Amino acid sequence: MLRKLDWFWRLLVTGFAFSLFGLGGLFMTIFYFPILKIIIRDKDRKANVVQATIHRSFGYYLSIIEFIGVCDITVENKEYLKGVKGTVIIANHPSLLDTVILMGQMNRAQCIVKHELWNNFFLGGVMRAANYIRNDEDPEKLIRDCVNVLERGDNLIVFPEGTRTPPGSVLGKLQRGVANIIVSSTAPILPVTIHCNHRTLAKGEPWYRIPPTRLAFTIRFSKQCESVDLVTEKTEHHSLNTRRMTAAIKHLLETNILGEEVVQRN
Amino acid sequence: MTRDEIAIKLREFLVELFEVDEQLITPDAKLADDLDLDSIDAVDLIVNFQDLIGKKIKAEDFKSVQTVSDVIDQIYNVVSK
Repeated sequence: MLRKLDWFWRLLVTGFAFSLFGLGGLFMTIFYFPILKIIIRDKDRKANVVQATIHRSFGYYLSIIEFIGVCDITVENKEYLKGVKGTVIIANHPSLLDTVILMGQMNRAQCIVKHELWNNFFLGGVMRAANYIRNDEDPEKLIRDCVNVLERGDNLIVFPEGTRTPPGSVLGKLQRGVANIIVSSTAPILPVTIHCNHRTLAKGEPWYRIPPTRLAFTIRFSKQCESVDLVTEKTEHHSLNTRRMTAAIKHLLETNILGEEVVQRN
Repeated sequence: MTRDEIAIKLREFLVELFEVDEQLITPDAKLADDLDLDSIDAVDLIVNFQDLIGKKIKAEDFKSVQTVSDVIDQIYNVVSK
């Protein structure tokens, strides 16, 4: 009986959490961003304010959904984020909430977003205002835009798998985009591992198929490092450098993820 | 440059610059699906051929390219123009 009640409550609050996210986005699109557009003319300053707003709203949002019992979020080593700028934040991608959780932890973060979201009724306005990078751009321009973001001092959150991690695997196949960005800039990197106890926020799962117990996330930040230290042998060919870099990132992420699981089992 | 010479050069590029397993390179092999080349690699490949033949290759001509033999056709078109 109690279990059933718990399940029903979590279904209710999960539905609420999804609605809140969509409606929050819609509210910002209709009221907040248009007002901001009138008040702040300078494009860069506006982008900064929008980023700060998103960072704070995501923070509040996470507090709310934790409070009502949708999930628990544990963040480890958050001190590694202090003073970090112009850095590529590299993470695995087990769930739908990953971006929200990461953006909630750091201000001035940009990310690459799938282009379909630009036309999303609820979130399209937020995407446009935040000036996120579209994934359907010309690939060379996409890399250039990412490098510009980093040179401006913003952090760039990248999920090198390009989509959510397939349930059951440690890490999906990595795209080489992130290596292209790193090789084309001098930006340092900061690996993050995200662990989620259930698969219900993986790709293709509907919101109402909720897990048997409450969702629990563990976010672990690693120390920032220089990307040149990852690959010892540098060639004169971009294609080879990106392949080496991708292999090094894959190794780094997998080691971090598996290391975490070993720790959690003990 | 003959088609065969282009094919040999393409094989060399794919193996040496893109670490493609030589056994996978067949005329019908798809660049993206079978040989694991992404769009940046495709640009890279064009640039390498440009340097080789000393002629400009239009990126648009390469938009429809999918397989190894498509690449050879397109390069041959440019060379024989």
